[in-house]
Amino acid sequence: MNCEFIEQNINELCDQTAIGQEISAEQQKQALEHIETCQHCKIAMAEHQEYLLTMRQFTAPNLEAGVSAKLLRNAKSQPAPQHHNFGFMKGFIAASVFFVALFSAWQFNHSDTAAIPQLVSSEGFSTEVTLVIYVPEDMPNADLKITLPDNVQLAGLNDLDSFSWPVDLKQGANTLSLPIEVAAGMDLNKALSFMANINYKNKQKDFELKVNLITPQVQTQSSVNSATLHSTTV
Amino acid sequence: MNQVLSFFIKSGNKHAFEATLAPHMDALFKVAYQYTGQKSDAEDLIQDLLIDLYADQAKLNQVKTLKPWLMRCLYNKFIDQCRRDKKQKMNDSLEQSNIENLTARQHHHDESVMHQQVLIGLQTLSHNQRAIVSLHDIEGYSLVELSQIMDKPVGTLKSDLHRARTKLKNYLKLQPSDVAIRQCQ
Ligand SMILES: [Zn+2]
Repeated sequence: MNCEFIEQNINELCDQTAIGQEISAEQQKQALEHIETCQHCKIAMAEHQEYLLTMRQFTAPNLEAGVSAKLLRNAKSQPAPQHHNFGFMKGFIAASVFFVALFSAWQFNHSDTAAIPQLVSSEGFSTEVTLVIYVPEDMPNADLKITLPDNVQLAGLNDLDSFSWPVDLKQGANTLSLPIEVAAGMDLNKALSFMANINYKNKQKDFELKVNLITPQVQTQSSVNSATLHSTTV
Repeated sequence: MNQVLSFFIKSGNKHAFEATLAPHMDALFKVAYQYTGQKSDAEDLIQDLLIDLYADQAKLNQVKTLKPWLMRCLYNKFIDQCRRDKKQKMNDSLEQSNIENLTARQHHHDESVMHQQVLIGLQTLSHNQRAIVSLHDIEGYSLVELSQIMDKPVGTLKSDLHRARTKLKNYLKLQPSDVAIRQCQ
């Protein structure tokens, strides 16, 4: 038994339900014996007990009289929010959304067949990504909002970092192609993170869509002009 | 279709919304207060949550065990709001400046120094850590219950709790007078 064990397991040692589960009764016994003889652990244990007591005794104030009724009443008179995140809507839209990226043209590399692996793009380039969204049911007139990662712009719309438009999503796969411009200095080893947000009948769902850029070398190995990648989202 | 149907049935009772939620308002407010560190911010958070709940009463009426579900909604709302605030105040991202803002705005002379210390200490934690400590150490939820509320595995929560407690214990070791001085600034 040593100080490190005590430090690592201080939560368990102070939690009766953890004895016999996370740590054995024997370990607890040895730990208590150690604490008796070790000043450092004795203090740590006392501080931990004091912390637990302090937290248990913390009492947040009650809602002031009438505030509860006011808040409830206000909620009923508000128009349905446009931008909120229904965390509890999980599962409303199928959890699996795939983001498929088609790299059709690496313009800066196109003429050179003996490509040198380039980890950071020395100049900007244009490409196209195809977004595939799976939904469990038809969603006519849904709002789709895409927020672009840093250093990525939509071709022709250089000043927008996010944009939204109404879409008719059909049950199953829906694809959307985005012509994008990637700024110079982009680390091609890093995944691009697109944020997508679907708003349908005032129910919202956010997705993070990660796209792994591939290096020109990998592209060459794939033998065709375009390589297909996909990544699952969180 | 079932959802639509149940919505119409329930909407027949004008006061169902209040009746369902009123018993939980105090509990929600306490946790919101621990999350935000401010009575007014806690009320705003609750208000936003209620607006969401009212907009989807069909869902609300389907839930069997309401309290943990409401805690989950509150947590999601809080995290959601933090993300939005973060985007809005990129230049205000220093943790320290947020803490100072909090102490400067707060004059709870009726609250004990320890109360204020815990409240400010909570603000030094990440949003995730704050929620864990608040729900587990103050409210007494178990890690298993937390994993439902926060949608995280118990193992992850356990190590997050350990880290959060270590950080908070270090903060609470500060002398109470230290907080008092900063509060008077
Ligand atoms: Zn020791």
